[in-house]
Amino acid sequence: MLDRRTLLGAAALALAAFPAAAQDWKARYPELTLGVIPAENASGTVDRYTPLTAYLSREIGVPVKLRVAADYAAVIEGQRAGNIQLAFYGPASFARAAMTGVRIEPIVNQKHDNGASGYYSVLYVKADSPYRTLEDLKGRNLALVDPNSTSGNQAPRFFLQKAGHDVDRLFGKTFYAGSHENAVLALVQGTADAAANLWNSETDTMVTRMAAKGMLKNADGSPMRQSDFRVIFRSEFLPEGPFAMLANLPDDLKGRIREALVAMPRKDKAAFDRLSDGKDLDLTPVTLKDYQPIIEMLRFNDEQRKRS
Amino acid sequence: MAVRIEPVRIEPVRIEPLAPERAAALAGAYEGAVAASRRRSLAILVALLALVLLAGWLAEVRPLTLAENIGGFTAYLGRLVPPLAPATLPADLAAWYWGLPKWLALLGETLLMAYLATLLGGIGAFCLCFVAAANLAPSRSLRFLARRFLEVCRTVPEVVFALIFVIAFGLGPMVGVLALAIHSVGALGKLFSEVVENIDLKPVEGLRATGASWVETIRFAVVPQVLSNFASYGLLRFEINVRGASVMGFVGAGGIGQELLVAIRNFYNADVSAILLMIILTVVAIDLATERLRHAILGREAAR
Repeated sequence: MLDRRTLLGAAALALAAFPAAAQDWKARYPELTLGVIPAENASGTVDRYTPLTAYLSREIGVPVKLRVAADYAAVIEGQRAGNIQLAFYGPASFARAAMTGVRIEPIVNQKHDNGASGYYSVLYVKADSPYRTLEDLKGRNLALVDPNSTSGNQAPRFFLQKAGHDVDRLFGKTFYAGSHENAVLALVQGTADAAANLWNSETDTMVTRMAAKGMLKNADGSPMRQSDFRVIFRSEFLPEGPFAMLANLPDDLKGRIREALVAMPRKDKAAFDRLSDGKDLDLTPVTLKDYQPIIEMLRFNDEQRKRS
Repeated sequence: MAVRIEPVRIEPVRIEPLAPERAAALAGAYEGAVAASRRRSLAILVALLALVLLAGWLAEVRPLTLAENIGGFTAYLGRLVPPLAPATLPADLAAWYWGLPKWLALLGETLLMAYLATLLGGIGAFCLCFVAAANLAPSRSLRFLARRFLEVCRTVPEVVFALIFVIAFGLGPMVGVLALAIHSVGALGKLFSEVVENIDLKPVEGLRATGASWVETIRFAVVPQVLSNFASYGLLRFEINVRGASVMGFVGAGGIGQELLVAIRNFYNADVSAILLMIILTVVAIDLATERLRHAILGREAAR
């Protein structure tokens, strides 16, 4: 029987149920996992991202656990399986995830100290080597980073092709060093004659970051600097990789993650600065559309691979 | 002369039953001993189980997660195989194996790496196994050194050796061959020396009595006894090295590994299954071939 009392009761129940529904995701996601691509070696990556997970745990209200994947593909597979709810990608690995059917939403990407939310891919040789042009590198060895690295594989392939060079034909041997740091180290050790890597700005490159950590030494033990390397090829501008989350997370949770990340440069400057050694200016919201060119680039490379 | 066997008469012996209290005491002691041993086994089992659980917990091995996500694994396998329709089978196969010439060349390189590594490893192991065997070692200290050397060779993973050699010698299949060969020396050396320790020592004594040197003793008294076993372990190692060489490309040491790695990382699923299938078929072919070879060796030996 429908009378005033049952209506009131139902209304009260609905009111009581509403905040419960809002907090419902905490039961489904008592813990979130942030997966990070191994751009650097694992320990360096952990140091960089631990303050971020502490900040996110505080802001979101559930513990956020850090997972540094062994390779780029592991982050993609983790998101596909739903084990990694939140991930930091490079643009190509994000594009590969989206292309292979992982339902994800990009959230923000980093704005560097030159005001650009993106970077370049470069080919380094050592400054004391005789190589000055791409033609000089014919038959030499090239260190790439990871098949899913943008600046360390996909972009060099794409932009060298546009410049009239097929990477696999131009170079004698190409191999994947595993991380950006390892590619630079391969060049320093002489395993490779050239190395593909990322280049954010004049003052922020993989070389400056490694030099700051004391990882680059000349044979006589003196520290190496940016001037010890020569850039012989630079790609066009590439959008910076995004933080991305699974599209099927509850809307309430997604809102919180987005808010926390957008506000981070102001709310927890220390944690934000740790991400880039204080080199970045901000985190800017991004959408899937920003990565359409990268998806096109990967499609082109996939096609090219079967043709050569 | 015929021997007559006298039947032997056996006198029945009466066994006196034990006094009841003595029997009860013995039975009680027996029960106690059995119970104690059972308790001990149970305690060990419980401790073992606790350690397994602890190890699993520390290493974050979650059987429930495995059970929950096993579907993901089978789904991955399902995604690997491209659509093959009976009507368009030749075209589908051609599309699946678009890279066949390149892959065959790389697989050939992988096989050559494995072959060379097994050969070099086998020679090294052959030279060391007699020194490392307890029954033949010329001296204790030499044997100690040989054993420790073999252990170093086989405990350092091949990939680590490969990484070190890539830095030292540059990229290429030679690095893979060296890394695999060193591991093979360690693994085969141990197996070979154990074969040598199980030989019949009579021919050795016989030869020593004639004044033969250590090398001559090995050559004429030991080698004929162990050769077929050596061959069978060597062939097994070849199979293992084919698999090992397939991974070497991961670190830039040649072979089909790099192509497989690129395919896996870039989610070129059809390529992953195509290359994996080629490797599996190769190993099957090697298994069949080596089995025949081994039987041929054994047969020749039996006929001697």
